[in-house]
Amino acid sequence: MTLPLRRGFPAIALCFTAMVAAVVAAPFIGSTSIAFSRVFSTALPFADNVDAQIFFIARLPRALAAALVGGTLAAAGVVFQGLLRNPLATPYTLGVSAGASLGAMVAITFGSMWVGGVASASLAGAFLAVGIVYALASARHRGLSTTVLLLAGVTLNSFFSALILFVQYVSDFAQTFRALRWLMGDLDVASYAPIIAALPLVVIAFTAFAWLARPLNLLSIGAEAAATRGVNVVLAQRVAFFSASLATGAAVSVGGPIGFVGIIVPHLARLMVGSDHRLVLPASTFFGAAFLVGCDAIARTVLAPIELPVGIITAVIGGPFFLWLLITRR
Amino acid sequence: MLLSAGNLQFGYGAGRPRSDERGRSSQFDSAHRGLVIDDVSLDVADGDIVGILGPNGSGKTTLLRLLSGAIRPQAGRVRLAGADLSATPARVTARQIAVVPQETSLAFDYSALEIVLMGRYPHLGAFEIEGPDDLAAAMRALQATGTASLADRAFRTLSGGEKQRVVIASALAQLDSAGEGTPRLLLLDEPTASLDLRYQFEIGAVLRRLHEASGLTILLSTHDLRFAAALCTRIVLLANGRILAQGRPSEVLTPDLVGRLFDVPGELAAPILASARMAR
Repeated sequence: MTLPLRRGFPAIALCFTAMVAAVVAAPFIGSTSIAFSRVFSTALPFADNVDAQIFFIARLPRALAAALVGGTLAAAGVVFQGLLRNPLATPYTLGVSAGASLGAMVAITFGSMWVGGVASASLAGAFLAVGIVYALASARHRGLSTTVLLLAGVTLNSFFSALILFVQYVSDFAQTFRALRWLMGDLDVASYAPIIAALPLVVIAFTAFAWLARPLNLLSIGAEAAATRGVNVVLAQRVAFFSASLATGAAVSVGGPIGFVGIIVPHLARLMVGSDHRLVLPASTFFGAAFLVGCDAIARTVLAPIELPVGIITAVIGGPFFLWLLITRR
Repeated sequence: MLLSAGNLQFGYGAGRPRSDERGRSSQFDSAHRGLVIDDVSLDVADGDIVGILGPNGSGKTTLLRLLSGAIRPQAGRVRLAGADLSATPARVTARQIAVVPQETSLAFDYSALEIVLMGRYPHLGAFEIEGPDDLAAAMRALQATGTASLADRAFRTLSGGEKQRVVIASALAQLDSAGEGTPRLLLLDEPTASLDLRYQFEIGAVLRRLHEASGLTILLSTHDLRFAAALCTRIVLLANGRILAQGRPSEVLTPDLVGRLFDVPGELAAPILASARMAR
């Protein structure tokens, strides 16, 4: 008898390979074709190597942003699903993205008053939403009430959506267009700076995820069953809520509220490696990264020379998939 | 004494009882004060199979939760081998007390073996992966409950009785520690409540085998007279959160006491008790 955990290792290696292949391959796709041999050629100095410049300056940041956002959203989805004991939860279920969107809308519309830029404003909005939901869910309980979490999240989502509409109503035409593009989810980061800015938050979140993997396994057999096996349930729930929210906020600040990655990818990962969170988390992270890089490549090429926002592609794939999930789920 | 509970008191949403209210004891009082468990004291000796017998709503599940340390009593104390349970870290308690809940429903699919391996949680460090010893403990537990052939089956595809036996195996893996002589206690909340007759016998047989083979101490709650009579070495009668009587089955399973426990005429209880004695 082998340890069930070991049976998942090949699939994780496969997902990792897919991620690396996607990040390397995606920058070669685009309106100007570049050659592999020229990009990595050492004969030419970088300043004269146009292919290398297109690869490393114009296209690689976008692929890396897609990988970072895709992997982070997928992993956050896994943690939220484990926390809420519900495979249909998404990183946006608890209102993080609505808060982030409101922050971004405010920054776009009243941008002159906000010096930090859209990304930091969306992060601030995400923290506001997280704070409100946490305060509500922990108000009358020793731990976190997952029922209140869900209800508060859903309510906050629609409340913030109303505020977003209000902000858009008072903004001018150009601002509304920019806001709409942001809400669709767009990975056109144009430089490495947004990726580097989000990285520390993502690293903190993933450190927490690594610790959470086993407690999340036990939580899925029930909170009390987990507690009698020695899990500190209250601590695990808090760490899960805050780390997954932090990850989601960071990802949304880079790419906008790109939908469906956080639910499709964990589900497919479970089909590959089973339900052990020590396998689902890395598999989802690598596969999520590869998936969003792929979706972004489609978004850039399907109607070329027009570049679609990647959120449209993930929604077109994800919507029907989500419905299929609803119908076939036991 | 392996486990010893003294003067336990607990009410959901109820605060600490005022001192002037203590000491009064009519049947009505406990309900009046919102207490689910009122002044319960009991001892579990090493090697016992103790059954907490009572009607629905008598506080059996709450009492088990108090005894496992899942909730803290508002008054009174639970001691495990002399150590105060509320002062013991959860991981340490988990290596000595394992709980089998009434029903287990999973949020995600796991195999039976994965469920059993989850019992190893309190034996592993935060980032530690199960080793050969843990796998061996899991296999022993599967063997002991007759579920070794189900190891790779998805838990949700198992029958009610098979599920219950796999969860018992998970509890056994949890109690399986290298250190001999550590006190170990298996708690089961209504282990047969949702099972038909065949599976009731099956669970009863598994528990008896565990008790005979390894001297495992077992504490279970049930409202099933026959199950309790057939299996237990000691029985605690619990009514309205208070202990009505406790002792050996022959002492407490009398038509009079059982009639009072379930609030039925004694002559109705008598034939059930007769058949329960036969099941033994």
